[in-house]
Amino acid sequence: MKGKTTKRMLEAIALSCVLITAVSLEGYAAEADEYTFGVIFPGTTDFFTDISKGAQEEAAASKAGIELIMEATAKFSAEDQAIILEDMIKKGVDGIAIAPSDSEVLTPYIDKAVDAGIPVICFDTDAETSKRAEFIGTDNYTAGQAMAEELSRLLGGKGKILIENGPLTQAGLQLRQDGLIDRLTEKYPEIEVADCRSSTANLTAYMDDIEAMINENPDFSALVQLDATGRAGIRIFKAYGWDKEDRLLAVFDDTLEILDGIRNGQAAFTMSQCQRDWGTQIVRKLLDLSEGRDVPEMNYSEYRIIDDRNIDAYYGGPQLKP
Amino acid sequence: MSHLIKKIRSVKFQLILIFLAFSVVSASGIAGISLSYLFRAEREMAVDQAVRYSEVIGARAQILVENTAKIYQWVNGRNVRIFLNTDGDKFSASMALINDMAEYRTTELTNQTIENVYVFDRKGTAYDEKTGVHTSDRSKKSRQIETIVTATPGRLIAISKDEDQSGENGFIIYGMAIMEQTTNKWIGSAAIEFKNDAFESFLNEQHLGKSGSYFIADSNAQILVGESQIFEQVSAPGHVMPADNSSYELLEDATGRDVLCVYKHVPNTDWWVCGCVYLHELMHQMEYIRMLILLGTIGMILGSACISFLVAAKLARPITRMKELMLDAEGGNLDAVVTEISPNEFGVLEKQYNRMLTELKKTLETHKQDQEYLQKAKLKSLQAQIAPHFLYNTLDTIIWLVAVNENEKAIEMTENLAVFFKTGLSNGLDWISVEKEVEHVKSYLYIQQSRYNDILTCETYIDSALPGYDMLKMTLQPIVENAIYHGIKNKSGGGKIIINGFLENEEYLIFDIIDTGIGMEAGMVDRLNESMRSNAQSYKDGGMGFGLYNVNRRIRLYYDDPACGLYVTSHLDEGTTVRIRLKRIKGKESHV
Repeated sequence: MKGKTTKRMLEAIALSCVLITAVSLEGYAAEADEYTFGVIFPGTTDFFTDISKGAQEEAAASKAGIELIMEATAKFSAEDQAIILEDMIKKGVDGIAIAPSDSEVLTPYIDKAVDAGIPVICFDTDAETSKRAEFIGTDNYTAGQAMAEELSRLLGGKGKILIENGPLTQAGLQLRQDGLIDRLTEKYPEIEVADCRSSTANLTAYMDDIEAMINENPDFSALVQLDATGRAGIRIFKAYGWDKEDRLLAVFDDTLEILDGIRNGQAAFTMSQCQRDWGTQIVRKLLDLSEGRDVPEMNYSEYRIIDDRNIDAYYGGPQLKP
Repeated sequence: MSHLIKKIRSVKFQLILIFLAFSVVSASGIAGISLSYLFRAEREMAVDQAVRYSEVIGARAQILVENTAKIYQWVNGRNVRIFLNTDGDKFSASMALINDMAEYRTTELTNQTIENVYVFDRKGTAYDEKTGVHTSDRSKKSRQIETIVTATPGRLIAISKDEDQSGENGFIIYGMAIMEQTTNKWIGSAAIEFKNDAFESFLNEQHLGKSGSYFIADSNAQILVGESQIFEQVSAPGHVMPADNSSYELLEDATGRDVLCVYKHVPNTDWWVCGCVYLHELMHQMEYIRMLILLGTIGMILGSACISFLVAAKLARPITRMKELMLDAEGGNLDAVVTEISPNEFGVLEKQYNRMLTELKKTLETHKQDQEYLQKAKLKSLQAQIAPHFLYNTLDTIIWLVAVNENEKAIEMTENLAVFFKTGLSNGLDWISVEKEVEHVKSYLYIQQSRYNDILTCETYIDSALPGYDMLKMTLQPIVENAIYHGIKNKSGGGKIIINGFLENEEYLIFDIIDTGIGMEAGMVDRLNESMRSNAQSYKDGGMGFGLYNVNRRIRLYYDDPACGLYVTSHLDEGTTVRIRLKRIKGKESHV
């Protein structure tokens, strides 16, 4: 009789185990909604790597099962981005985030995706006329204005500045430039913008621009770089042996070489976009859109001036917005 | 003092001493041997470990060196040379150098150990990775470094905080001279500045005892990075690093303490990774173990002391106990037996002792009783010898004889009475000649016959050899008296008494007292014989007066021979024979 009771007990236990497993699996199943989001970068610099890290962390931490497909073009090319976009539409992803190299070129492709039922978010550079649901990025115009203020403070209200920018097809860069120049024109007439050039994202050409401007304006007081290629200016200043005492260098973004340049004294300050947070926001908003929730159209992130006063707190990587 | 000596000689003490001596010797022996081996083993282990750690650090240092080698290659590369060789506008050469270095950093050289790289041409232009191109007099640090590397290239130089002219925390540089390959002309210098903690971090990673440390020294035993006060103490000026790649040595400090120094050469450099520590700090385990062994040994000795006390006491207890009992018995206590017999070999001893004591007690008791009986018997015999009733009656008879003018008979009766008493008393002697004893009984018989004329007759037949021997007195007469009063007197018609005396086997005297009285029944005879054979004493002799029992006892006592005594045969209505067997004793001697 004892053997029979044991056998029955074992059977009961086994059955309970199965039931528990089934229930929990079902629970898992309920939670594991699978989403696939695509993220298209215009390049693979550290700047975009930061955004990518932010996005990956958020995807991993999310309770929903999110899979990220991240793509970047080999060179700075809107056409290449378009190809990737179409590919993602064909794959039938649940959402797309893109930093358009050329907003005009890419708007129709963005619309195509939206029409196919795939929500699209723009980051870093906006494609305002497209059907994109949201823009995540810096309010570039006001950022440019803020740079003008800081420059003026450092220059004491007067001086001669040179501006170098990246390709103006990137709307954001244009906005920064506009904001900077507009503010200077409005408020600081004694600061002269001696030259303003833009270049494609080829470092050599870029540096040639800067060198040419310097040669033509040897008495300039400040060089401003509005895209992420601040290292060019830093290296040139190194070659000249300049630091803040000699000339001002103001740049954008927070690559490691730029941060080193601030430490070593070549660059006076940089404007950081705190872009790692964009990655977090991209994933969250795409999830919201996939699950049918509304998102704000303009999602401006914080920007911050980093100079030798606050670099120690900042050094080692951009701080996340709480 | 003698008490003490006695105690020391005692078995218990000896046992304890032997046990203790053995355990102390063996414990100390084991302790001593293990300690000495342990010491050696741990020292070897400690040294091994220190050497190994120094090799680990040396390996890390070697990686730093390899980094240096990589930069050396870069420093001797094309762009640096162009920079050094360009006079006038160095801008594009500088650009090339700067771009080169930036790329080099991201691909080849990580940030972890190299803080900065310097290049100096010999015309006052300096480049460093952080500042870029500048005139070397613009930066105190640049100037200082250039001076150093120009003076002593190919060396690892450590500048302390105090020596640092730029007011910072000091720095460590490795300088190189740059030579033009073709012409062998010296065109410039370069220096690698290591991060401040590049060395400290891995020097401090390994612990070396409590107060020991690892450090980097050059081949002249000058400390370059890190510190070691111990090394500074023990290292005499002119102390040179050993020739071996990796080695150690034991030195002594001023107070005589052992100092272990380990050395590991970093290949392709003038650097030595060294460790310096007080040897005893590495052997703290030794202290611990030594303490343990010491405690263990003491514990073992104490333990065995206790055990030895207990064991010795236990073993020696029976001996002590018996000793005390014996002393007690000697003092007179015959009940001092061992009450608890030991289960071991002592038990046999104790049992034997007990038996011996019990036997002794019994013997003494018996002896006492026998003595008492003897006294009583003597007394009784004395009484018998005096025989008051017989005397009264006989005197009465004599008076009557005189009264009836039977003077002859009266005289004869008086004479016999005199003999009776003379032989009976015999001057107090116990042993008399057979002759005298026969006279005694004959005189008795005459008197009795005279009185009991019509009922008693008697005959005596004594062997001629007998009278010369001696015998115990008062043996025949009581038997004859018995025969008369118990045998003949109650028989109608009277009876006869015959006394036979003869030698048996030349060894015994036999006297048969035969009467023709009423006799005794067989059961009675057997009981009688049995009692007498076993020498029973009886004061209640069934009405036989002094009786057979007592005569028998007297004979047994005096003759001390169980063959001597009485033996009765009897037939009812026919008569009784009492045989007296006495050991033959030569005459004359016993009259002493």
